[in-house]
Amino acid sequence: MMDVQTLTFIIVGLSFALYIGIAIWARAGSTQDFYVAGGGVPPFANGMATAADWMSAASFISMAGIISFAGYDGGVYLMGWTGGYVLLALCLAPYLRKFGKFTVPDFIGDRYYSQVARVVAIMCAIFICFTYIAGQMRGVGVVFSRFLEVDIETGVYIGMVIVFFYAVLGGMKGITYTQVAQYCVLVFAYLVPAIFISLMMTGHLLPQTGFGATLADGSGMYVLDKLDGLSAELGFAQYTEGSKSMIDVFAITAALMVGTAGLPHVIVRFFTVPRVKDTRISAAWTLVFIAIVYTTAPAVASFARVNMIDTINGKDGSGTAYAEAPTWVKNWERTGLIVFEDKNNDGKMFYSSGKISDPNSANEVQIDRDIMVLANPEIADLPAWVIALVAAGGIAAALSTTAGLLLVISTSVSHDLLKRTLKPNISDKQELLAARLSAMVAIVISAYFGINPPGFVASVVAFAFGLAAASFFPAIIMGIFSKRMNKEGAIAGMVTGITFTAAYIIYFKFISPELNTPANWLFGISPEGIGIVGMMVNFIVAAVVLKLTAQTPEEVQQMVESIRNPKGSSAAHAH
Amino acid sequence: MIPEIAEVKRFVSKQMPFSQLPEAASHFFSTHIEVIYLTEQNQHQWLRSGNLYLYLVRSGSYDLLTAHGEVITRLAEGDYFGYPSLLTGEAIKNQLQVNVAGLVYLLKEEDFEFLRREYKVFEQHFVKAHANRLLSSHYKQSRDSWSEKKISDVMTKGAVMLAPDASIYDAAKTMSQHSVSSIIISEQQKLLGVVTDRDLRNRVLAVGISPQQSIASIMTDSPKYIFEHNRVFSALHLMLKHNIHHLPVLNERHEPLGMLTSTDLLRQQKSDPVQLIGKIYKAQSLTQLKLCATEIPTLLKSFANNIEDISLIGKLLSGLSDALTARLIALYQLEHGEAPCAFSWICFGSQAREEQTLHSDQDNGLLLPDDVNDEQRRYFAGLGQFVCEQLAHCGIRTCPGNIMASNADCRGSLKQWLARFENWIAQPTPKAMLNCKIYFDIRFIEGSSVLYNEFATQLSELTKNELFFAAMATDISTNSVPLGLFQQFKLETDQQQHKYLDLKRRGVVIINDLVRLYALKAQIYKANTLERLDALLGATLLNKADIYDLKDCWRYLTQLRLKTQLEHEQLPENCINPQHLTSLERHQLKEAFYLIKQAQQACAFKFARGSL
Amino acid sequence: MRWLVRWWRKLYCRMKLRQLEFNAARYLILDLELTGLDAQKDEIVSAAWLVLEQGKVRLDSAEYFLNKEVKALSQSPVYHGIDEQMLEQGESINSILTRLAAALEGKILVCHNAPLDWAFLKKACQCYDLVLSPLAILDTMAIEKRRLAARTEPLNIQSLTLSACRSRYHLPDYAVHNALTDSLATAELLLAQSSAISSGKRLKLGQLLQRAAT
Repeated sequence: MMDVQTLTFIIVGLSFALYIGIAIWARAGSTQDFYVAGGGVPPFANGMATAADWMSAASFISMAGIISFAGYDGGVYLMGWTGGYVLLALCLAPYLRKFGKFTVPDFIGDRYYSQVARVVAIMCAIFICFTYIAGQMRGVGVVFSRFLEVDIETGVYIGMVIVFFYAVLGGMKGITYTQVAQYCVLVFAYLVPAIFISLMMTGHLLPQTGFGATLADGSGMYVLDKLDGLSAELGFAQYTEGSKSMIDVFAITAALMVGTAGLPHVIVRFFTVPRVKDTRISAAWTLVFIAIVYTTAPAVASFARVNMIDTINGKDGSGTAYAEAPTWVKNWERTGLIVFEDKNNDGKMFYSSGKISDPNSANEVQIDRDIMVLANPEIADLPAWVIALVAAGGIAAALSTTAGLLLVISTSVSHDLLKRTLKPNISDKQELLAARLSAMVAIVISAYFGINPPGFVASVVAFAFGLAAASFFPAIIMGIFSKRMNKEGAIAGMVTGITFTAAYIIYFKFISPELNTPANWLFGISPEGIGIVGMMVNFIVAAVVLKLTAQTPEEVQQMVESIRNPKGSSAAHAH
Repeated sequence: MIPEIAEVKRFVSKQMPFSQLPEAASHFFSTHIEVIYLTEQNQHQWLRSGNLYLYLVRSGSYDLLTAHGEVITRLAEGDYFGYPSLLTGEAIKNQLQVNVAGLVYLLKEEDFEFLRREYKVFEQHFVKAHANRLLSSHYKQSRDSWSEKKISDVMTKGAVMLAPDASIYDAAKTMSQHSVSSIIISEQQKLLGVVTDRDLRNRVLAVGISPQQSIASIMTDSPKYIFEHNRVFSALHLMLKHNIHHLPVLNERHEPLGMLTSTDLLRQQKSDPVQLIGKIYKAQSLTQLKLCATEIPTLLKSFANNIEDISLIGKLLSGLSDALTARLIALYQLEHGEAPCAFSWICFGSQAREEQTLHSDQDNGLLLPDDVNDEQRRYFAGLGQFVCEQLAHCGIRTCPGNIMASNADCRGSLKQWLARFENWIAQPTPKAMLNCKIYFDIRFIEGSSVLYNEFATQLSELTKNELFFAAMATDISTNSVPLGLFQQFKLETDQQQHKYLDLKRRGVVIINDLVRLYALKAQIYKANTLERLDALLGATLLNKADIYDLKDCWRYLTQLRLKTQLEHEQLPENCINPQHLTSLERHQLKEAFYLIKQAQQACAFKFARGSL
Repeated sequence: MRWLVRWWRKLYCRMKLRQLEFNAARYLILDLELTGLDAQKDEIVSAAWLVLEQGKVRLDSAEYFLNKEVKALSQSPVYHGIDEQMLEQGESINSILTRLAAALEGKILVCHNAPLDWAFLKKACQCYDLVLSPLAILDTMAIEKRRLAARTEPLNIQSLTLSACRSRYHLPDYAVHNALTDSLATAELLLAQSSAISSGKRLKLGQLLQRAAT
């Protein structure tokens, strides 16, 4: 039997070979005839590809982790992201498509007939993408650090190199079937351990039903009841209750929703499908493919938590001897993502609420949430190949999203800013070079944030969404649904929105993290959810500025009118 | 260190490729050359095998001739020669003819090798120059053709000249006395300018200038000229290149001898395209028209051997097709009465791009006004049927994709055509993209230009769609150049196991596609690829250097394609086997493909946010 | 008696030389920048020369020296643009002349207005006991003067300057004037002149040396 590390190398290597193989096949040129004959990529495949773009390392690695630790509170991510996708697919993509603009900054620039608006939008896009990539880099780092048995920092460096080669030199982004393969690897890697564990713990094949079922250990207890019991015992909040205030939950969910809708790299996916009808079908498929993973997440989270507490604290709840600790604890300790400090010198590990550094707390083990999905198969003692598979899945999730985001950054910098705004006379060669360089810089900067994260992967990503919510979303919505909105309003709105949100987040997360408690929050809304307030600010500022400034030109008003009235779309259906 | 001579260095560093090289390169060159005074007497001494040199003309004027005495090119200040032998090691075959003696710089072989090793740009410059030389000389290899005659043999002797202070009225009088269409303005036997009867019309009558004014005020000053001992071919080339019909002929002392007109040249040429087009327009019956059409292949063959700029052949054939079409429409109207309403006959694809070959098929259509009724439609159905059928009889194959005015789909009203285009733009499926590649190369041929312009304006409004551009860019990038990961050729194999490279599909077509996309984005209403590229110089979409690169690539591939087509006939059309190329040509071909690949990448990047 | 033999040998050599084909000889084209026109009181500021052989001016043979021993530049920098600071990097007149003597071995000296240059050279050589022994001396100005006289064109000083001569042969205009550029200009002029004089036939040195100063 091979050890986990060897198997990981083999399986991750095989998944890369698959992506590269598909890329070569697609480049061979034989596909062109195939496309013409088959009328392009089927909506089913396109749905998978979009899902791969959509599901980042945050979804794959961190979401279950956050639910596992935060219980009910973690569910906001689940709701926010799913809702955001629906919002994007139904309310934004079809209109942007009719407008005939390929990127959000282009839409904003043309709709608000202003170069300044376009540049502001580009800046917002770059800023958001940076935040988002930072989250991905951390995810990749976690995977590599565990399986190469190095510390998290080295893991991020390795991830950095691999992402760079994959996204910048490999040029594999944009090939739909590579994305399809990535989705398959990802979903397989997510479901296999979940099904195994569900079978072991509850006897149910589907983790979704196992989640609500009774434990198979003969106690007849429901999984969630057991978790609630354990949480109460160890001083955590009730798993199914949550500690966040209603308004905060609402704010975070809403921020995630509208922020998702403004994410630049996903919108593009809707435009690459030639037929309008196919766009809808593939959007529906995407939702199905996302749902497969998202509905599994809560189950994975609760199984993992039960298992984890059971193994660390022992069946009797008095702690397991450190000398006899399972190998996964030792393995993860090496990465620095699990820390054990024997505070009462009994040679046993004990996990409970409170910080490990707090002498009043009984907690002796500190566990990084981001390891939950990755460590889950190990905790459950699943075969080594399943553990390796999860690593491959995590990398797939991070790669597809990072590649998309890096493209947005590099095109924004080299084409939108450099070629179209600052230096229109650069050659193709220089433009491509600038693109590669900016991708490289983006990777390095985001790797820095990956090593020194301002939060967990999911919350870092949540910030990105918050920023998007406060800047793009209102501008897009007003651009489509209000024909009177003018450039002054939109620019002022975007600038104040993103500034307000970024300032709030930076204040609570970087400048005074000790003040980051509900008592100090504005309206009781946490930094994760402040994007929604930023959005409101954006709307209000825009409306006020609109009142004070000149009217929108007639032709722009007509253009907006034509997007919304049915005549515009009739041409699309004519054939 | 050898001291450099400031004047030499200054001259050298302004010349290509030194203007792009570090200062050290021009220093090396200017301290290692030898200077000679090249005259008619000592010309045989130079350009001989044994000791090879790179020659750079400092002053004077010379003609480079083939072994048979045909002019390859005119050399003047800043021109190089002698490099082909330095590059290939082959014996020198060309010879020199001195028009005006002057100074020439010589660089020894070992010093040339040194610069070649040291500076890639230096090597590339000469490799490229050599390629152009090879290709242009290929089309001149036919011997004893009329174009090899000397100017002095074909020109009308006796220059009609006037002093610059003569009045416009005097000029007109002198011209009509001598019954000539142009006059040379000279002072003390030196050529100052030229005035043609067209100038009298455009610059005097049309503007209302007084005929008492001096002729110097309206003459074309420092006009193009030619020497009496030059070849007719050079004159033809000059005329075609600059679109002029009158060339003053000078002797060695730069004294005007007479005027060479395009009519003089036409008289020399039995099957001339201009004459043939004229004949087509005068044809009174179908039989006459078809007779004209049979002359096309012979004309093309004789012409192809004499022309330097390959894009002219496509233009020539398209011009003939246009003429045939226009005449057929006129003949139909003679028989069936005037058209009942306005219409525009339009063409697509290669005819629109003016890239037609003898194998190209018809791509055309009829544009009708929106208020066309059924009866009128019947008339145009007949017209479409007739013209397409007769064109096929004239040797232009029918379109396998049925893009012809005989097809009801291609006989739409303004609205119908726009709806077709709008559908492709809004739903850019691969099939729609395929259509766009044909239909977006569009040119007006005959009928109402008002109707066509209305259509063009509305169409350009429709094309302003970034999603459509993105789809086009993505589509273009799926067609890859035949280069592998390590810059090796990727050959295709046909059923007979011949290995080949498809220069058209994997080279020229990609450039055409790229340029079409840029032209649409820049709202350029031209169909010809080179003209589109020229027009793009005015937009900021593409850098100037990139545009020139694309033009060079396009010309190189087109010429190579025609050249090899003549030599290796068992391969599929437009294909070559790189093994039949010299190592230099292979090198250039790779360079060309690499440039296309880069342009493709950049295009996908700019329009579709595609892969890096 | 020895004097007679030497005289005879010299005469014989000169006859042989006059029969020599133009392209078969080797030439050293020299130009000097001076502080003035009086060989007795003015000095050589710089010297430059080039070798011409087989009809080719070899630019790799170019030599250019500044005389660091110039005592008084006075007004001359106006003409040649050389100032005292530049002169400091020059060489001693002795070493310049020694090199020139070596370079001249077996060559014909060519200057534009040779009597002037030769007078300065001779004066300088006396001080260091050096001997310059060119096979012969050619003067492009004298050659031009003869050609113009034959054409009976009006003669004046202006029409014999280097650049005026050059323009008559359609040679390019050189803006910069220093000893090296001018020596190249002289070499090119010589080539153009020889080509014009030969008019297609073989050119013997004698045709150029006619009445040229020795």
